Amino acid sequence: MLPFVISGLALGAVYALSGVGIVVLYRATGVLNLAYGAIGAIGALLSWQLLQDGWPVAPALMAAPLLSALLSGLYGGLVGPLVAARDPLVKAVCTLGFALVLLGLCYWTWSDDPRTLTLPTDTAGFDVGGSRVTLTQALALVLAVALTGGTAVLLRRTAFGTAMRALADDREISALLGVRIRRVETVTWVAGGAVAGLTGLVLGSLTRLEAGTLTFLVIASLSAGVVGRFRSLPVTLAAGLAIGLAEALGGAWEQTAPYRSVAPFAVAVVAILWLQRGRARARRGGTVEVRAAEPALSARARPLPPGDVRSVLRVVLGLAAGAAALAVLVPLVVDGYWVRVLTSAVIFVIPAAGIALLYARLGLVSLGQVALLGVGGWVALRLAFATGWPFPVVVLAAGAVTCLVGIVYGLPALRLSGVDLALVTLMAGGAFQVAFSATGFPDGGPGFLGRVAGSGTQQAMPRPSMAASDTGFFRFAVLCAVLALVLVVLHQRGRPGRAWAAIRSGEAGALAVGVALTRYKVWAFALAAFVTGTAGALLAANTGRLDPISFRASDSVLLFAVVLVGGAYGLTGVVLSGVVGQVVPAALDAAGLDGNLMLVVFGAGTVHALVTAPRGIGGMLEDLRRPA
Amino acid sequence: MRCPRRLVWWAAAMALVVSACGTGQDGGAARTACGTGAPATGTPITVGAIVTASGGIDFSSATKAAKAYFDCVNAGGGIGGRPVEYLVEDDGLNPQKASALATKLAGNRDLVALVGGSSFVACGVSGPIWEQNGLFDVLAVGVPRACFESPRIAPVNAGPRVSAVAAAQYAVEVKGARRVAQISNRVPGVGDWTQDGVRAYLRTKGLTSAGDVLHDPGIKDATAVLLEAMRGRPDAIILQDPAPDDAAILKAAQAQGLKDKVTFVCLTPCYDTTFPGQVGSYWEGFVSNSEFTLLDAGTPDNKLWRRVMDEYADDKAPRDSFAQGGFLAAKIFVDTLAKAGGTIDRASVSRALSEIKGYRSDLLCAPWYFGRAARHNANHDTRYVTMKGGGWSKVKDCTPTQDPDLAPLLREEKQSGLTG
Repeated sequence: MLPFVISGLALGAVYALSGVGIVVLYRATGVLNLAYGAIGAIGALLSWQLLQDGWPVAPALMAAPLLSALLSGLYGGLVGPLVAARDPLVKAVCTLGFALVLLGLCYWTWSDDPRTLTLPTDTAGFDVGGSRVTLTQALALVLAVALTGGTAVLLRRTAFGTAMRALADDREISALLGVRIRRVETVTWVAGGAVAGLTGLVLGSLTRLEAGTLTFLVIASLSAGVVGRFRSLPVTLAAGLAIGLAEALGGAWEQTAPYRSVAPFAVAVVAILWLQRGRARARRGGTVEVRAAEPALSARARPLPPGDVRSVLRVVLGLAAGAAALAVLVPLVVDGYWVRVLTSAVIFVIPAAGIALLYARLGLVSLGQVALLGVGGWVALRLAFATGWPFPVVVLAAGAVTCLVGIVYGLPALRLSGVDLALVTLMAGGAFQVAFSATGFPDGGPGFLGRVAGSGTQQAMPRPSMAASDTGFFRFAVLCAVLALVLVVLHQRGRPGRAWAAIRSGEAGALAVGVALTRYKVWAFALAAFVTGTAGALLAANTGRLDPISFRASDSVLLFAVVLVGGAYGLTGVVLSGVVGQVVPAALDAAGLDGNLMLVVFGAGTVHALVTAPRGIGGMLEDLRRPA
Repeated sequence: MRCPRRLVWWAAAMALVVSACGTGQDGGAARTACGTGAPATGTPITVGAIVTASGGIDFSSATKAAKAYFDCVNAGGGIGGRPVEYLVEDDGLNPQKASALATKLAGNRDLVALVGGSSFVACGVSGPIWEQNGLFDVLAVGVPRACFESPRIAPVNAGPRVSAVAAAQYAVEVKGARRVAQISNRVPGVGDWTQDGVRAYLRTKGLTSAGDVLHDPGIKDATAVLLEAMRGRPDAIILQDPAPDDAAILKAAQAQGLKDKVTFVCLTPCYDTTFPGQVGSYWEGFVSNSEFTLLDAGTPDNKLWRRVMDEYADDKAPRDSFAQGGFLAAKIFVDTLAKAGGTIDRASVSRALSEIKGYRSDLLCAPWYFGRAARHNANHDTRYVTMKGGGWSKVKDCTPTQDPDLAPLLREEKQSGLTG
C-alpha cells in the first residue's frame, strides 16, 4: 500500500502544482488558462533538447521556466487585453487556441521519439518503509506546498498581492482606484508561465515527456481548481493531493484499477455539486444573485427574439431550399473525397446547433458534447449489430438514449452556470473519455459491450440500403441535419424559445414572469443531447466503425471553439462551424500543409477569430446583410 | 526533428519560414542501387498509402522509406520503364479523416495499389473501402487488430500481438519466468487484443498471467502503472506500449530498483537506436523483440535498405523498424510487378499482389505471402535483441511464435503452399 501512497502523492503534487498555478492566474486576471500545460510542455521539451545538445545541466534546466514565462507573458501582454472584456469562457477558449499553436509547434519540432528527461534529483532518493522515494517526487511535493504558501503570503502581505486581489474582485473599480491593471496582469502571466515551466520539468521527469500528454493533463488538473472553487489555494493543494492519492490507490485493487483514471473527474463533479448545495438552497429561498450589467457587446450579440409563424416558415423553407441545392449540386461538382469531407461537415453542424442553442439562447456552456456524440454513436452501433431495425429508427433511438443521458448531464445546470457548469461538463466529458477507452465501441461481438474477443471477426456497421453510396449518404446526412436544425428553430421560435430568452435576460426576471426555470433548462439540454445523439449515429454509419480516439474531452473543447469561431448566435454561424471544423482543415491538407502545422494555423485562426469577430464569422456575415 | 532547433524556435515565433526543413530531394544519379536502366520516363504507375504522421503519433518513417525505394527504382529505370508515383496521405490520427482519405485514394482511377502505409487508425475504416474498389494494401506496419483481419490488407510486420507473445516466450522459455505480467495501452483492438494473445500462450504452458495492466493512452504516472503491474509479484513484465511509455516505465522501475527482481521484455517499438541513450546504461542487457532483421544487419536486402536510405531519403528520416517495413513493402510491390509483366492496371496489380507466395527477404525470418484469406499475418517468426554498450546486439535468432490463434493460419499456409 505504501508505494501506492507515495506515487499518489507525487502525482497529486503535479495536479496541485498545475491547479494552484491556474487558480492564481484566474484570480488575478479572470482567465482560465487552458494553455497552462502546453506552456509547460514546450519549456520542458526545450530543456530536454538543450541537454541532448550537450548543454550544462543548470542553464539547460533554467531554459524551461524562462521560455514558458516568455510565452505566457507574451500571450498575457498581447492577446489577453484584446479579449479582457469578454465572457470568461471566450477567454478560456482563446487560451485553448494558444495551446493548439504551442502543441502543433511541439509535435512538429519533436516527433514521438522515446524521450526521458533526467533531472539531477532523479538518481538521488531515500527509502520509506521499503519503497523508494526519488528526490524528484519529494521535490514535486515541496514545490506544490511552497508555491501555495508563497502565493498566499504574496496575496495577503504585499501591495502587489493586494492589487491582484482587487483586480480579481472588480477590474473596473480597481482601475479607478489606480491599480495598474495591465502591469499586474502581465506580471502574473509571466510568473504563472515560469511556474508552468517548472511544473513541466517535474512532470516530464516523473512521466513521459510528450507534448500532447502534458497539454491535456491540464483538464485533469482543473479538477483540483474546481474543488477549490477557483478561490482557495490551500483547498486546491489539498484537492490535488487527494485526487492523486485516489487515482494511485485505485491501482492497488484489481476491481478498481480499470477505473482509477476517472478519479479527477469524479472528484471534481461530486465536489462542485456538493459545494453548490448552499447556493441552490439560497435561490429556492428567494435570494437572487444580482449580476453585473452586461457590457454592450453581449447585448448586441443577443440572438433575435422569437418570431411569428411567417418568419419561422421563411427560415424553414430557406433551409430546405439550401439543403436541396447542396444535395443536388455537391455530387455533381466535387469528387468522392470532398463528398466525404462535406458529409462530415454536415454531420458536425448538428452538435454545433446543440451547443449554439445552449450558449446563445441560455448562456450555458457545455464542454461535454463530444461525449454525447460518442454515446449516440455507441448506441447506434450496438443497435445496428443487435437488431435489424431500419436505419432511421436506429438514428432516432440513438437520439432518444442520448437525450436521457443528456438530461442527467444537464441536471447540474439547474444549479450551476458560467464557468462552473462548463467545468462540470468538461469533467463529465473526461469521465466519458475514460469509459469509452475502457469499453471501446461495438464491433459486432457478443455481450452488452458488443466487442469481438478471441478469434471472432470485427464487423463494420452497414449503411442504410437507401444511402449506401457516399453521395447517397451525403444526401441522407443533409436531410438529417436540416430536420435537426428545423427542430431547433421551431423550439427557439416557440414557447420554449421565449422562456429561454427570458432566462438569458435574467433568472430573477424569468422567475417573476412565471417561467419554470428547471423545466426549460433541462428541456434545452435534452434537445441539444437528442440532436447530438442522432449526429453520433450518422458518424457511426458514415465510417462503419468508431474509435475512442475521436471522443476525447479535449475534442469537446475544440468543438466549442469551432462553434464560437463559426458563430453561435444564428443559423449562418452554426452551418459555418461545420465548414470551419471540417472543410477548412481538409482544404489546408489538400494544399499540402503539414498536419502538425495545421494545428498551429487552426489555433492561431481561433485566437484571431475570437478577437476580431465576437459573434463569429456567421455574425459578421449577418451584419453585412443587415447594417446596424 | 533534426532541424537546427535553436534556430527553429525563433523562426517558429514568426511562423511559416519553415518549409526549408521539409522535404529532402533525391540525389538522382544514373547508376543506382535498384536498377540498371536510365531514369524511367514512361506513364507513371500510381500507388498510395495512408500514414499517421501528425496528431501526436508519427509513423511516417515507413512511407519515407517506401518513397526512397520508389525513387531509387525510378532512377534505375522504373518498372518496365514506367516510374512509380507515390501518393502519401496523413490521417492526423483521425479515423474520420482516414476514411475520407481512403475514399480519395480509391477514387483515383490511376491508383493500382496501396503500399508501405502505416496508420494507427485507418485499417478498420479503409479495409472495406479497398474491398469495394478492388484494391489490395501491402501495409508496412500494422498495429491495431483491424490491420491483420482484413481480406485486403496484409502487413509485412508481425504486429503487437505476435511480438508480445514472442516477448512472453522469451521471458518464459529463456529466462524461466513463471509469473508473467503485462502492461499496455487501453486502446481497444490493441491492448486487449495483445494481452489476449499472451494469456492464450501462457495457458498452453500451464501458466496464468500475474496481472494485466491496461492504462489510459499517454501515461501520466509511470510509477503507479508499474506498481499496479507489481501487485501480483511477477518475475517478468512484458512492456507493450509505444516506446516513449516504455521508457517512462523503465525509468520508474530503475527508481524502484527492480532490474534484478523482474525481467523486463519489450516489443519491437523499443528496438530504436535512440532508446538505449534515453533509458541509460542501467538497462544494459534489456531484451526487446524485433519483427524484422537487425537494423545494422549486413545481409543483402538490409544493406540495400540502408543504401537506399542514404542515397534517397532525407538525413533526418529515421532508420528504424518502421522504415524497414516501408522499404520491404515497396520492394515486394516492385519485385512482384516486375515479375508479372504485361499490362499494369488496378485489376492486374490486384491479381498479382493477391497471388504473392513465398516471397523471400533477409529482412524477414520466413517467406512472406499475401494470399486470399480473411486475415493476414504472414510475418510470425521474430528475432530478439539486447541492449549492449549504448546500442543493440542480437541475442536470439528467428523464433516461431506460439500464439494459439495462429493455428488456422499455419494450417492454411501448409495446405496452400503459401510459403513456397
